[in-house]
Amino acid sequence: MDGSPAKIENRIKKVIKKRLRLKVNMEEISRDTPLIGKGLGLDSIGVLELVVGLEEEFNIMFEDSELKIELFRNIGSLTDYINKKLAEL
Amino acid sequence: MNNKVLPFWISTNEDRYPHKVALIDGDKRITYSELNDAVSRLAAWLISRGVERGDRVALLLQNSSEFVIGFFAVARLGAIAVPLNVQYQEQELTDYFRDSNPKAVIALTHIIPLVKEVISAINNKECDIIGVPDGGNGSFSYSHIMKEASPCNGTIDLQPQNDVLWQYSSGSTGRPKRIIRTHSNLVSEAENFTSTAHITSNDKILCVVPLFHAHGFGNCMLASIYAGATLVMLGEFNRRRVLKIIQDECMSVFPGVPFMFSILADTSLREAITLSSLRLCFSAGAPLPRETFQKFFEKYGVPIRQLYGTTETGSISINLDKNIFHTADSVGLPMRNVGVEIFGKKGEILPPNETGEIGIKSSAMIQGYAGLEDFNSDSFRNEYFFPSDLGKKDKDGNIYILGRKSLFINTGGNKVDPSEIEILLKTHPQVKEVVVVGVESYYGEGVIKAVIVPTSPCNEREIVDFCKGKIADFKIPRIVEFREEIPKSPLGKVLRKYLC
Repeated sequence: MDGSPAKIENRIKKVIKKRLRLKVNMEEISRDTPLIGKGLGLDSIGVLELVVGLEEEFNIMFEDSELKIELFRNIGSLTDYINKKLAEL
Repeated sequence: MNNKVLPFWISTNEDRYPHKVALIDGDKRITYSELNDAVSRLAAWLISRGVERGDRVALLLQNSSEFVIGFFAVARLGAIAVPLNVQYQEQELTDYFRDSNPKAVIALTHIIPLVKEVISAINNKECDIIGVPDGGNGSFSYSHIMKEASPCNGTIDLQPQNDVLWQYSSGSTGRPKRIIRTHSNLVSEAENFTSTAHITSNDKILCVVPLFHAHGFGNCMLASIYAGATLVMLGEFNRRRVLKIIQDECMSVFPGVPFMFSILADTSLREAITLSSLRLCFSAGAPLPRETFQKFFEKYGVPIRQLYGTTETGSISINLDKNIFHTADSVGLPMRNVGVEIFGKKGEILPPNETGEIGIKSSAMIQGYAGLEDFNSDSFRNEYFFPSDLGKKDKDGNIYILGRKSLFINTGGNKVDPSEIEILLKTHPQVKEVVVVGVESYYGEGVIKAVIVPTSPCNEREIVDFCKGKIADFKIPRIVEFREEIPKSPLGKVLRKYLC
């Protein structure tokens, strides 16, 4: 499985689209797109749905203590976190 | 003291279980004796600041010991508690504060600047603000009050018919409906639920559903304090922490909402978790998908039972069927002292298995919305309350909820009125026409979708950004779709089914 940041980013976008049913143009979403608040506008329920979807997609576990706002600052911060998790496997 | 008023429970429980833990809130363990003392101190302080019988005190708190102490302190001095969602933004809070005109607000420290703005906007010059845990910026500190205030001497003559709680329900006009509940209503609610679900002082109830909602307020806090049980509080839904607490604290009762159970059923675990201490696990706020019931049972071996309730009535029914696998989709039989009937279009009571409008009769319910007489004649008829739900009973009396007559969208237990969002979006300069509908999420929950006819090109993010800060996050549309026109019938009625 290719774990390059670009591939991870694309897989995150797919999970966002599938799990959250967001009808946004994925090409408009970049590394800098915020996930919470302005940007994709996810609320706490949306974040949890996304986390469960990402755990399933990447076969990793998000620690509850790590579910901080900084992690969901944008797609880039989430990509970096998953990249690190995959490297630890 | 009259045993049909809420402060009676606190003082009685101090006598019966002085050293028993009443509340667990993080590292804090508060006994019934300590609870009574804290309630008494806060009540005395509020009285010293001029809060009197009938005054309103707003609570802007997450699940915490301060919420419980705050509510019972307000009840003890004969005032009225107004619990509000901590996610509300300025305009929403302004609406609620304008309606309730609070004499005091007990709020999380970080919300105080917003509370001050709102208090100033409604020109309320007499309102004290108490910050939890700390004050500052012209407000009082809850921690300091608890250290310095003396306990209340003597008792205030309270009657069961005195008002003690104002809650708000989404209104069909985009403005909230005020629900006024008395001591008698809440005592009945607690009696009905605890006697039906056999909640006793041996129980440990996990409170992760918000206390500012009727579900958490009634089925967690009131039930636990009434029974002399232990209430374990979590300020937010944290998946693995919830599971660990149930296991480590040997929780016996777990009230939740469908979204929580769906997430827990899909949560990957590093180590085996045993939830065998749970004797009652139930879901309310929205229908529980059958798939969630099955996945949760397969993973944890615990059946999730469904409870039906409304803010206007408290809990109505619960499914305690021994053969739960046959009736898992049902919300069960009416609680003790609650009557439920299914009515036909002419107002006749329908026989089993026929679908009609659900009507509820209960000593715990209100008799009407404050100041909405026109609306009351539709919702309150012949001593029954009609919450706009459609349903049926089977031959054994089990109730099944089959739909809603109203357009409300249920997002994770929050009922959202689409017209409130439509009114806001219509003020966006590029929105010519907008209709807000609910669509199903991955977990079968309601997701808010705005369908917009724009006056000029704009994108989804501009719409989401526009909403941010003006309404609570859970009301912001997750899906925004642009169309050239809104589908309508020849008579001009919006055809919502083509928008989902």
